[in-house]
Amino acid sequence: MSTANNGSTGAFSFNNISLGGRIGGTRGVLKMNNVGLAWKSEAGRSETIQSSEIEAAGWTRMTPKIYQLNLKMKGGASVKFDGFREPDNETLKQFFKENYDIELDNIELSTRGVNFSMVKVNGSIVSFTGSNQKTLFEFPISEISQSIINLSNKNELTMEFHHDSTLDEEDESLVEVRLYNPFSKSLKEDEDNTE
Amino acid sequence: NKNGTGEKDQKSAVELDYSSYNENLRLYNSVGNYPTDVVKNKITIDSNKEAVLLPIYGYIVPFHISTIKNASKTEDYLRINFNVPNTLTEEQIESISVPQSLFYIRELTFRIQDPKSLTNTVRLIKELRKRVTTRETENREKSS
Repeated sequence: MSTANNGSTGAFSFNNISLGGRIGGTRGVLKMNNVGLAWKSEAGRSETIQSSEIEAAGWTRMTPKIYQLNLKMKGGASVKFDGFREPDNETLKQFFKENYDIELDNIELSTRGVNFSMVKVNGSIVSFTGSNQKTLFEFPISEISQSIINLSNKNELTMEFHHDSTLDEEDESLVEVRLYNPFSKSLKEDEDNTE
Repeated sequence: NKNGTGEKDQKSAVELDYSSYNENLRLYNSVGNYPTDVVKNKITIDSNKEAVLLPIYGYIVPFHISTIKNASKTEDYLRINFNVPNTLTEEQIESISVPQSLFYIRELTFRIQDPKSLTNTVRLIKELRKRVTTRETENREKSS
């Protein structure tokens, strides 16, 4: 459970927070004050963010119980923190407004249950987005260890992922995705026709 | 009014073609409607909604069982194959405005180190798949 302590300096601290957007979930403490945010795990991993570098902040329900704070940084990167509870929303909303003059936006995920989406690369993030503009899921492009276009079937793209060394034994982790684009072949034929 | 209806028809035609196997599917309204036992980094089978919820980089992504073709295991890997439509013809591409960045997920592979969990997940997906296929076949027989 995360807890918020309102100190006399207006700083907050949340326990059991992990870096989001990845499979491994090493937990740590996230502290925030008017200068920025600092996350540190027991193993010594850390992440610091200057508030002046934050462009936008989002609040997303990731599971029925767990929420995520996602920060869009100037320059296109994004930093995510998992492990918040519903009541933390009010605390964070107020904190971001008062200290950083940033609105905490509610971001809903696409939960239609379909296996198709738009795939786009935004900066360093690969995003899978539904027709309603909601995100199904996304991951940093750096997580891909290898991507292959099938030679015999050119509208198929395979992506293999790096092994995350911070995984717990009981974690069930994605290792490979195979995508199919219903256009490529026709597009290829188009190209051939124009020759 | 007439225009409104026209737009609606066009939209549903697009969605129909996108999904092929699951027209206008709306499995959950939001993450808040997921089964309460859903946790990060674990596959959950929701037999009420006939859905498989898969962990992808911290997200829990639901898939209706009708999108799934098969599930199998090799060593400590779970492979899920999905249904995808045929390659679109040029006529189809011209007649409907489907964005070119449209991709289907054809296959996902997960590493599951706990053999019990792996076996159980494969069994549950296969059972759900079978239940839905049987029901669909029965419905088709009834209606014919």
